[in-house]
Amino acid sequence: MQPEELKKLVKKNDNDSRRQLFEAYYKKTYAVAYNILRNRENAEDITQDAFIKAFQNISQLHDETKFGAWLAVITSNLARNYLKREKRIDYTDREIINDGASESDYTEESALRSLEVERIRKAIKKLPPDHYQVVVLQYYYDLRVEEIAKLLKLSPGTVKSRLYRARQRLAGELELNNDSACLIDRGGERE
Amino acid sequence: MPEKNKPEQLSDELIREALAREFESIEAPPVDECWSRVEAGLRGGRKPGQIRGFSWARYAAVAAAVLLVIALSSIGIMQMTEFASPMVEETPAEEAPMRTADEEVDALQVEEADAPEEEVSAPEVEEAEAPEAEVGILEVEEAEVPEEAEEVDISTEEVVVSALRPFEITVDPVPPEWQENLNDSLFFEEAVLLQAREGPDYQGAIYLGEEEVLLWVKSAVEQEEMGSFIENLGEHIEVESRPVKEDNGFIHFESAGQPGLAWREADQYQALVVVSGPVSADQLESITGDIE
Repeated sequence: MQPEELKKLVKKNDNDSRRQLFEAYYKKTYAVAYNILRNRENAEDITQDAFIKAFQNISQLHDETKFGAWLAVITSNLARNYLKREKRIDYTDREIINDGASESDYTEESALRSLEVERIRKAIKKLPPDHYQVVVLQYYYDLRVEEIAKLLKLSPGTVKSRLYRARQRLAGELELNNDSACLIDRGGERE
Repeated sequence: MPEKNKPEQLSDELIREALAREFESIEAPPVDECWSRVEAGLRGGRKPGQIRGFSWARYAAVAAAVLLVIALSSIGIMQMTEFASPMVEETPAEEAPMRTADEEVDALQVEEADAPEEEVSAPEVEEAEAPEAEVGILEVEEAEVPEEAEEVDISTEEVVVSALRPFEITVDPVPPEWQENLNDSLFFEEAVLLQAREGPDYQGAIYLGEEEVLLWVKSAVEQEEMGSFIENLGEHIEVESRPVKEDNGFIHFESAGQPGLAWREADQYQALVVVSGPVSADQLESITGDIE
């Protein structure tokens, strides 16, 4: 969705605009909830709660173009709270379902890159919720550290630290050495 | 996994691609169903946070019911055993030799051992009986920082306040703006939501110093009385029901032996509570002077 259109819809916040926003962000929101909860029914509940909270509190969103990232923060916070309440924080043992593209879906040309992406995708799924949250905000919503800190109400230092640890975990999961965890694009230092 | 499948370096681009693939490939439930529930929720049909599915309370109730059935059936078996004895006695003495006292005890033990207690496994019972008992009043989980992390600015140390018990605190999904610091040494850490089973939810913020942990709470309840605010706060964070004293428009109270201060500002009740650390009531009062 184009930023101007997004801005218009968020500002309007009537039923039609909400429906359009819902359709545009439903799948991504569900994916964030599902990746933290690993349960389809609970992910569905958290998704709908996240949209309800977002629409009810939309006046708190200062930059309308950041609606997606803001919604991802609400979703991941709700999912984290749910895990805390249910004391199911043992993310390391959670079932990782291979519900996306399989390694065999790709042709020879893109096979190597696809396999790399697939491995990273699986490794991202194993991140703890607070690390997953910052990774999604930085790499999917392309936010800078300061922006993430503002959305999460955390200090930039804490965000950097979480990003650093997230990359360490990814590197560990992918059996890379620590030097490789310092991304070649230096994404973690983007400010 | 063969060696050739390993990425040699973890690039931003690969991570972006992986996330994009994840978000595109996930099979979400039908959009219309979820939308109608969101619409209903916005009209007030369903309170956010009411999650379907498994809950410890339900689990504990089921386990208690199972234990009750087992206990009743054990009693039944015992009674049947008692009733069975005269029948044995009715048989001719020469056909059913009388048991000695020791033999009676042994027989009873065997019968008790046969009772189906193992139907409920030990971990299930433990979980059902004590799901809340493992955390102390303040559990601060400090993530391990590897030596290589020196390049990262961790001036605000990552301290995850993962649980404040008996405080029922959760991350505030839609937090308001909280000021970055209360004074030179107390810095904002996390926005939280104080949720009670009954009564209103309050929004709060955790501030960390070197040794101190403070909680700043704001009420958004219209027409709330100071008495109800303190009382409701008590349900959230175990405040003593009786305020210690009133002074300069501040209500002084105690929470788990630590000082707390409540006041009214622009029709909104607020409170500052020491969760842990050496902060006196006077110091707390001076901190409120720095609050904007």
